[in-house]
Amino acid sequence: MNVQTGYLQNVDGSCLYSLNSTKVISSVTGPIEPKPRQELPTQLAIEINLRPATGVPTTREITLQDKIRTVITPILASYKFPRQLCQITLQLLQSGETESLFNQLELAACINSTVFALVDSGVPLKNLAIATTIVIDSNNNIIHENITDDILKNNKSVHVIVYQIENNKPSNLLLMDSHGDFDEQDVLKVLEASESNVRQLNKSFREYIQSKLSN
Amino acid sequence: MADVEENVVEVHPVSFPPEILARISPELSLQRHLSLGFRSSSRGFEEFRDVTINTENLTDDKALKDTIKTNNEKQILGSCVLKQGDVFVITHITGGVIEDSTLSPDDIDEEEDAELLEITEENSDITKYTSVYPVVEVNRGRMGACTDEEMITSQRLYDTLLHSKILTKKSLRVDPGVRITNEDGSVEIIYPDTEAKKEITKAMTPKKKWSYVLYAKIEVFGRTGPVYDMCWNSLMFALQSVKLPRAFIDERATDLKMTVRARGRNAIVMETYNLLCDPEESYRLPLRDIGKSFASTYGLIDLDPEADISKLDSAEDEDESMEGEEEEEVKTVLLADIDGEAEETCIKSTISITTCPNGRFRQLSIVGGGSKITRELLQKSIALSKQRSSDLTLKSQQD
Amino acid sequence: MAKDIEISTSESKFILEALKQNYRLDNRTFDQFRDVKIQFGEELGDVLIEMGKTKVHCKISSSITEPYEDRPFEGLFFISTESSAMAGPQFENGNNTGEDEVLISRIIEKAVRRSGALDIEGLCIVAGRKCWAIRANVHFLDCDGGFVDASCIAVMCALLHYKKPDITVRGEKIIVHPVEEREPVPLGILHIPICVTFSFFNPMDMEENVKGESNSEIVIIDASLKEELLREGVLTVTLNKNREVVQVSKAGGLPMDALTLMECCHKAYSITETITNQILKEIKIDNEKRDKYSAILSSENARETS
Repeated sequence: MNVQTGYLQNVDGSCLYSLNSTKVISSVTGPIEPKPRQELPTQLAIEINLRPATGVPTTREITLQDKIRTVITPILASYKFPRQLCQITLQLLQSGETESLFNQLELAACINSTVFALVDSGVPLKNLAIATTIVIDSNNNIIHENITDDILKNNKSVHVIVYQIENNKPSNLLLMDSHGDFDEQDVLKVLEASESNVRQLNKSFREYIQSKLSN
Repeated sequence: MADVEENVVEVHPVSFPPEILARISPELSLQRHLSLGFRSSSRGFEEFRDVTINTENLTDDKALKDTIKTNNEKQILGSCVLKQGDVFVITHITGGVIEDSTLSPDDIDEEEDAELLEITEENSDITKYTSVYPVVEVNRGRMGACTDEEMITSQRLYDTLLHSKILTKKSLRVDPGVRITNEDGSVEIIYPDTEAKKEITKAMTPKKKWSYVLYAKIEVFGRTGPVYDMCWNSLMFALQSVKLPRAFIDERATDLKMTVRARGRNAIVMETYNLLCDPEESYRLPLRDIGKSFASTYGLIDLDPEADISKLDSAEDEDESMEGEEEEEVKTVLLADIDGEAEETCIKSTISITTCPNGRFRQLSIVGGGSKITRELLQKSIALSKQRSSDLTLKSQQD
Repeated sequence: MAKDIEISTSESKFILEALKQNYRLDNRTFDQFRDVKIQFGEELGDVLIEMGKTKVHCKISSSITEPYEDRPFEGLFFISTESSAMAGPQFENGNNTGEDEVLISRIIEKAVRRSGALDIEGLCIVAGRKCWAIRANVHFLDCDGGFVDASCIAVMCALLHYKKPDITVRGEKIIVHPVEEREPVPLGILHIPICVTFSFFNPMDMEENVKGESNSEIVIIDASLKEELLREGVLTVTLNKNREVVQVSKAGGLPMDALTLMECCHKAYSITETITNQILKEIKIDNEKRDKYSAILSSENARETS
């Protein structure tokens, strides 16, 4: 994992995030004045825009935006800023997977990048959320790191898991998005494996923030 | 019904009839219903809406027999009308033919040992599978650009179908026959799999390859809640009813070349074959049984003890003393088959499972924005989804 | 409508006053182009250009498609330049109809696509049937002025860097060889256009119509965002190393002395030359890095076979 926050100057928070071959830049601007149709009377509205590395945004990007929204909404302290807007823009630089078949690596990278950019921007958060991708291959092995496009293509099932981080450890499951062929046992195994992944990511992210603050 | 503002002493209590309360405070209305042990639709917590399915009516058999259609014209290959509660979902599957012009080196191998490939059909490589292109349209009585919900549902259907590996690319290959005119002037269509006149089909085998592409148009009428489950189930039933027409080429067009002149230079350009669909012969779309699955969604919501109707009368007096007491353990309930505006907007934690009748999953998505998802609740929803899946499978067999 | 960036009166006065005294905020001289930083990504045709704080990313993608009916011998080439709110609040998501955005994309389009920088006839596979479609995806990441200049460099760098997979035409079929199997082929680049943007300021309060010796207009090269906001006229000239003017764009604004145009072209030429050399040098270095890797691989294979 490679994180560089504060990468852009014209936005409140930004993060260049890369994990293996997936690379994404996220930017956060907010709280700002929303357009009338976005305004929510009691809470902070969120606008998410995801742009693919190549080509124009399609339904695939809309779906990813929706998944990111379901994760970001519960962690924002949204009742603190009624009638305001938080604008999140994500730009994929390198997807690291065959875009017509998968979105799992991008989804996890986008979520992590967004959360780190939110931390960078200073928009109040209730918790952190950290995402990870897990693949079960055809021999029923759980692969939880260095997932490449080839591993994805030969998956038996592929899962994206997002945990909420409370008191420095994963607490609540925020999102699980699984496809393929799997059963109840697999789900439980994946949840366990992802928890340790998330712990690891959380640790390295905290170290990064710590070193950034102490400089 | 009950007072809304019973905690505020200064304001005179105002009461609303249930249907108005449901509009102005869906959360409270929902909580009150739940505290009584049933849902506003008067279903039980774990009760699904009834489903009726009809798959044969819309298929355009008649039109198919009347005219020979060229590959550009879409026609309905399979369909399904699904009614769940008050919602109608109508799915038509249409198709087209495209030319496979680029080949990866893999495909070359495939040609050479196609038989070997059949043995290894269990190959898990996702690139061997394909999906249909769904377009979901939720009718709301007004025109306009498609909404996010429609786009998201379409994309989810596409992804889930692709990853459930139900359709192999090979099953959509077009294996065209040849229409020949015999010496006596009669016209006959010969397909490669018929034994007679093998030499003709062999000699005429076109150098190009074609595949069918399937489109699914899914229309939702009278939307009352989340539509994904209904769309998926309807798509599943519709796919099982799909009949692909056989295609053939006229012998006169098997090797037609045309010269195109541009900027003074000549270039030989292949004319597209005249690929026609047979009006009489059709075959069922081969689906891998392993992929057939049905979707169901569950919502998790914490019961709010303050909205409990049975405690309402004593609530006013206990208001202050309650704060001192230890917090009651939050009770989370599981609601099957979310429907209605209140349930849709107030339930932030959902579990959506697409399950095969044998109990394996094809797709699982958990959103945990609200109540905490515990292992017990997850297991409960899994058990329900298995039950639901086998129920729906039974239903499809009856039809 | 996106938010316009506002600049305070005192700041604008300060900048203009400084310009009058031959100073710029970033301590450059008037004719100084910012240093260009070129970073290549992991994939071919993935380039990040940094000019001061301006960041532009460009990625090339290719696919096989059918050519236009009236141009059967040519491939397809698109440049997509869509801005998002990431670059700054003046850009709006999903709305690229703003005057600036349209102007930027048109200038890049003219400079690169219409000047024939990419050999599109070389993209033809089977005349009238199959050809390559090359797409340059320009992503504006951070805006501190000079988007036109930076994106032009980014597109050209990416095109030079990109290699399309090798193909074999076997009768009717086209076999695309994966990069691991066969060395990919670079695109045919005919020349490298470089844009240089000049900004004009009129430090006098009134419009100065008399051009000549007494003219006190200020001309600066490669304005930063703040300078862009205050400028009264803009001129973009696009040249290549062969001393050819590819494009001149002056859309309204302060009228300029006809002779200044010649002067600007001269200044732009020396900048074009340095940047072209820099691009070619960095491409070469990156190619060698990638080649070294394959050289090791090939020597291993040779040992195995012997």
